Amino acid sequence: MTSKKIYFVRHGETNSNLQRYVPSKDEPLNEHGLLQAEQCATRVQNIDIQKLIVSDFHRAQQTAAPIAHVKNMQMEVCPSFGEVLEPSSIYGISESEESVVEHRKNRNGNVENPEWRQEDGENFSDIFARVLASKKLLEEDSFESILVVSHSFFMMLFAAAILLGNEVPTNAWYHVASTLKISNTGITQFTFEEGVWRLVMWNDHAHFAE
Amino acid sequence: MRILLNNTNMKRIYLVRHGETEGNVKRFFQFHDTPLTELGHKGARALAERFAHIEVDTLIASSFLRAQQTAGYISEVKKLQVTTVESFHESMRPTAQRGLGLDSEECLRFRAEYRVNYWKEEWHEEGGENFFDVTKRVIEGVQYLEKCKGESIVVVSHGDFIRSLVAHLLLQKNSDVEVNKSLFTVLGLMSNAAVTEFTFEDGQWRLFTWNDHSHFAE
Repeated sequence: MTSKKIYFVRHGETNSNLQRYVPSKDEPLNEHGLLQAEQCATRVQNIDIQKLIVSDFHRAQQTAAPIAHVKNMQMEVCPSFGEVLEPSSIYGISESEESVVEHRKNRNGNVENPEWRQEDGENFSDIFARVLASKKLLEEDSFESILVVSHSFFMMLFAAAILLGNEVPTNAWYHVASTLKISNTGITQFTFEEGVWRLVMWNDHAHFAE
Repeated sequence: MRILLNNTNMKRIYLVRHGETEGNVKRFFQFHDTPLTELGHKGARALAERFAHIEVDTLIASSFLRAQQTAGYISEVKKLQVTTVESFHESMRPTAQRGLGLDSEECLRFRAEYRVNYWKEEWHEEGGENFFDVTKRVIEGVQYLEKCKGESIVVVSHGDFIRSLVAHLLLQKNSDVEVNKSLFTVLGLMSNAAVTEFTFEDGQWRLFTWNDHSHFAE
């Protein structure tokens, strides 16, 4: 069995990243984010990619578009790689506002009670199930080199799941995820070989040497 | 309007694995005095150049020759003295195993035993460290970095030791032997002359980059 290479790219910058408000699924890249997406496509140009997966969020699809273009490939939309959904009542609201602070405090404080849900937001039970489903999907995919365009919190939770293995309490999972940090269009690489995952690289953001 | 993200409270810590050595290439257990190979010197020089445009105010290295040689190039580029800090040296293998070929029959037997014994607190063999011994040094190293006045710190250290440090900082209170075993497998070793970056802000450590080897896409 050969080693499967799995790359993850976080979407480019949005105004919600910059001004720190809660984005909806439709939040677009800003001008800088569009440029980052172009630069990212240049960086991955020489990597062998056989399949391009993208979440159903606008900002991820905008980031994937230049990659699809340079690699001359279709993107496959896969909603399981989408960002953790917060209640729609707080979309567009600043992260420092009481309603957002309160929601996040309650959600994160309820990590040991994963069924806790606010309005139409996702709860931890939904999120963990989605992370594991995404992991399984990648393990079973027959392509040997896959690039996924996804989102910060989702990627942090995904990486923590890989680092810890499946049988860990949800609070440890959440805790490890929150010790990770990620840049817009940072590149992460995993390998999967004979049932073993490895984290080859987390958030190579290329700003390091510039 | 671009919001200023630079926070003066935030420290950046760059953990660098030394360049390639004879031991890495010929696959033997190294001692403190194994030098860099020619390619190792080249990798260390290229790495130092990558720091040219990054602000660095403190340069630390373990006392081992390969770390000192690697730090030497960064020292030249950044015009900084190397501070030698003992805590950051490589995990120590038992004295009897040093210099043994990693793939020799004797060594393969030893490695199989070591993989089990390493995780036992009561296991000690002359000159060797187990997981708990290394963790003690990791904690010393972390405390040193937290107290260090620098805001942008480069530490030249070693594959096994950096992996132990990363596992410790990611797991914190969730650390136990089983979960560390999982993390060790998933992380593997950093590449030679690669960079791992942490931020330390308001008492919290966060992993910003693991094993940036920069040329992966070239």
